[in-house]
Amino acid sequence: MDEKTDVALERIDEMLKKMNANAVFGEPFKEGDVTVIPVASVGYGFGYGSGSGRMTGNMPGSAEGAGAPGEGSGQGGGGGGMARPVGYLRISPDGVVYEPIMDNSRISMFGIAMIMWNVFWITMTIRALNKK
Amino acid sequence: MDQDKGRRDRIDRVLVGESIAAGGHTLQPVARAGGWYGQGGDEQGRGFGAWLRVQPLEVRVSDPNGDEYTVSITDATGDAVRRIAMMGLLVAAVSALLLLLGLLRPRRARGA
Repeated sequence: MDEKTDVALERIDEMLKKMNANAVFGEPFKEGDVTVIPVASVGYGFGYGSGSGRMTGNMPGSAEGAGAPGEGSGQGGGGGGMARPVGYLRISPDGVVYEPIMDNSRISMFGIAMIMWNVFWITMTIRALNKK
Repeated sequence: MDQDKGRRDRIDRVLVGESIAAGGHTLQPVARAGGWYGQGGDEQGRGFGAWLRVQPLEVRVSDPNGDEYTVSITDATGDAVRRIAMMGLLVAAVSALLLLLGLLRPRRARGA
């Protein structure tokens, strides 16, 4: 196994062991009698790849017998993360209440995409059935 | 070629956070971590990837007077998006079924 891959998998294991629920609960802030704790949903993704290759014959385009066998290697990685607020905890002398946040723009965008998807399917079905 | 089938592990665990003291209450956050990580490759190349999502589940609350209760945390936007997606899948499934029935009907008629 690749040493770098091993190290990365160990890091992921370590990260999972250290991770706790506070990653999705923000710092409390006070406004008069009320304390608010923001709550989010978070996601992370990352990947890494490496490879190498060797060409035993002539390099393409080179004269017969002129090219030396070639070899090369490469590696790359990337990652990203996102956090989306889902609501907040409202802590008052009366108790603790969770208030969800509706992301109307996200719902609208998804709704429009879904309307287009439904129109596509319904149109295709009607056309196909009318051909018969 | 020495092809490694690779290793893929699912991540699914409940995380209990450190207590937060606020407004005389003590809150213990609970979240779920889900996702996967894995790696694979052969003698020419290797790769690994990981995806992790942490979602809040609930908070366990201890009141100053000693009462304890749980406040559930929902993802209203996520739930709405899932419901819309289910509707879209339903429309696609019904349309596909109608198309399939429409394709089969003339064949049966010809066969008869």
